[in-house]
Amino acid sequence: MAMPPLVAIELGTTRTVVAVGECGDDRLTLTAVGTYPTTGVRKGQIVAVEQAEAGLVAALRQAEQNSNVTIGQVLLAVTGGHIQTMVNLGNIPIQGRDHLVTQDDVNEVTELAASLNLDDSRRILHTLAQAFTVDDMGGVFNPVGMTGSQLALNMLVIHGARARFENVMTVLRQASVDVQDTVFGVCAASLAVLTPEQKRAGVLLIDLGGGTTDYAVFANDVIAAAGSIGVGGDHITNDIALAFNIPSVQAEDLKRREGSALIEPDASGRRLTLPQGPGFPDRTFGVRALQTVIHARMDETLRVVRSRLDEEGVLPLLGAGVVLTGGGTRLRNIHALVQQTFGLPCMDGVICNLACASSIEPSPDLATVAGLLLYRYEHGGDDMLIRPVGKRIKRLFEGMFKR
Amino acid sequence: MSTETGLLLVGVGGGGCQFAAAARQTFGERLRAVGLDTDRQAIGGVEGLRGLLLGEPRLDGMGTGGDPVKGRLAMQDDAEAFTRELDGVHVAVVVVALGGGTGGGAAPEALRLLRQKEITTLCFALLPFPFEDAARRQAAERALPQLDESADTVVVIPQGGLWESAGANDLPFAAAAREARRVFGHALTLLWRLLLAPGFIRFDPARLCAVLASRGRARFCLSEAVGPARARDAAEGLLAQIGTAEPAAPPRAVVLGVLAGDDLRLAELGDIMRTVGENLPKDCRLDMGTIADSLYDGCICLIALVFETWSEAAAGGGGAAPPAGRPPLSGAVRRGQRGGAAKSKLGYGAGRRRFRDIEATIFNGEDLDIPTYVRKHIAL
Repeated sequence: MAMPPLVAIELGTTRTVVAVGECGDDRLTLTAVGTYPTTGVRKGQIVAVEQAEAGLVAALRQAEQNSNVTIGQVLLAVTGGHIQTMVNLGNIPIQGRDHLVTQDDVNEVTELAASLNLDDSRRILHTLAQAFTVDDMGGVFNPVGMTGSQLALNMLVIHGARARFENVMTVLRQASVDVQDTVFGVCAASLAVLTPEQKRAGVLLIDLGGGTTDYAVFANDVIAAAGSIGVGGDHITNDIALAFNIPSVQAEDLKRREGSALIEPDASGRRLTLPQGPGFPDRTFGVRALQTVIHARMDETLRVVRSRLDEEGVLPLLGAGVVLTGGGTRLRNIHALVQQTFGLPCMDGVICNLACASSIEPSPDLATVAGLLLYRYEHGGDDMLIRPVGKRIKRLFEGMFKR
Repeated sequence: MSTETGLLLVGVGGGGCQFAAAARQTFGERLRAVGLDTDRQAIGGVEGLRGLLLGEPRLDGMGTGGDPVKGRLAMQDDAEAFTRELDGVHVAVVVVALGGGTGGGAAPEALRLLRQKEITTLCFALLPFPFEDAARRQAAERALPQLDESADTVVVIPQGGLWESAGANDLPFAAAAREARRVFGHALTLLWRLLLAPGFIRFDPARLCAVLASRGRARFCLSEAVGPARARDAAEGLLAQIGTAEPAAPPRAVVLGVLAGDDLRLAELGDIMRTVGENLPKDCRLDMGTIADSLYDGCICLIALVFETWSEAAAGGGGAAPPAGRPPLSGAVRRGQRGGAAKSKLGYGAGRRRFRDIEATIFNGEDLDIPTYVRKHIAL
């Protein structure tokens, strides 16, 4: 039976994106997109349900018009500074004949590593198997048939604040759509933009969003680290507004027109004049000052990411550089700043793992929703595979990250 | 080789090894020194350093071809061999000439290894000449933030400025390079000399470690003078450099070494301290030590490390004296003891505007919702 059209939603801080994917000829094509500026969301979290709902409804209508699809069920990308990760270790003795590891042992240790008791206020979003250890030998990806006395598994657990997730669900319920599954945004984006070679060689994916900066590190075909920092493009806009005492709308416009992640050599001599607005006199200031504000913020944000990766010991794994997605990729010189910060080559995440209709530009802004569609598509039309992630234990993401 | 000083000089890359070798020549056998390079021929030609060829299986001793990723990987390959050199080391001075692959790639990695061993690090980073090609200058710019990240203190020295300080611009090239390296050698060995060849006043090792551990960038200034007014002339020359160097942020701490012969008089020392002290900002910390070297009879040379971001809290509150019975510099401030990042003067809520009604994003005790330029005191 043909798979029905798939719908993915990213309820972002600055805009809501709804994407429709249609399956045919054994491949998935992104056929339509609806977008609308978001209000009522700060740092990836709902702060005003009705406002967020209004933006979502507008984006849904646009997507429906562009695709001739009636949207009922959707996949949802989630993010926010409340999302945290931890590595949980499962460890069992190998008791079978000749101490050979069996599939049952693997299942048991996987179940053990994925079962942890978090506070009721937290909800597990993903449990991602990393590498097995047989006795003292680490980095084993398939231990079945190996000999040893102990089998261990590291499980990366991604969890977030239950109440924040519920708030997003409320917005979607009020917009009359049913959420089939939720996926951490940057994990979804990785499906759309990263190649198997990059995941094997070690790559850092940074999603420069409006409210958050999310990151995921892949190495040896597994996800080695992930996280979210509650700082995004909105912070740049806020910094500019405060620095020059101008409204946020003007600050956002300035960021887009004259913003740069590095202070450009010709910035010193240039001055900008903002005309008088309601309650604001006209202002003149230097481009260098503007770019200093932006550079300070972007430099700090990237250093926070770097610091977190350093703490987790994954920086040396990055052999294939850094890939960027999200609206922040449009900031001038962002790639040079990333290169400076990480000492690694940097590129935009281009949607490469699914086709896009000719009317749709496969830009890094759409990576998350494109990845969500792929996530659903890769797991077939089987409804069993799209139950809430926390309820399933058996290597839900193994196929996702080992394609 | 004696390790009793607890000090180690590390040259990284071709240029770094050459400058490190020159420094060792300046201060002789008492300096324990290691050279790290990926180029077999270059490392073989440097005298006075214990050479470690990096990444031989990967690069076959042929260098990185300007690729910092190769430099980083080569350093990772030989991390164990380098770590073996670190027994008994408490302070490491790393010198690197940026612009190439080994310096830019291996130096941050080497600093990271030193950091893992809880060794206090001072990194001298030499920038390419302004006339060098854009690729080298860009490579240097890319490497600097990584050094900032890994080293306790980074002293950035534009090579053009170094040659100018050494009065080498008008000399034939070979003589000019020698002179630049000699001047640099004095700066590089400042710490050793302050501690090991003291004159009237010995520098407190714990203070030195505390200042270095404050993290941040420092500038290097040097001034020489002869004649009857040599003390005042040298002090004024130094002040001119401190005041005019770019970026001209006000100094927060100065480590001053007075290098002179046996003819240095106490009154001259008083003159220097008065002239320098009176012209520094009131909240600027000045630490001084003297270095006696008969080669400098008739001359006074002032060498200063100028810190623009230093704070007493970040430096560990001034540093306690090293525990009795431990070797020199064993009182080095350990990372875990250091003060955290300086908190913004603004309380939570102030300056947050758009984020005032939402849970703050806190990292290392700082509220990231407050504009970065406010928290970092960046002038616009």
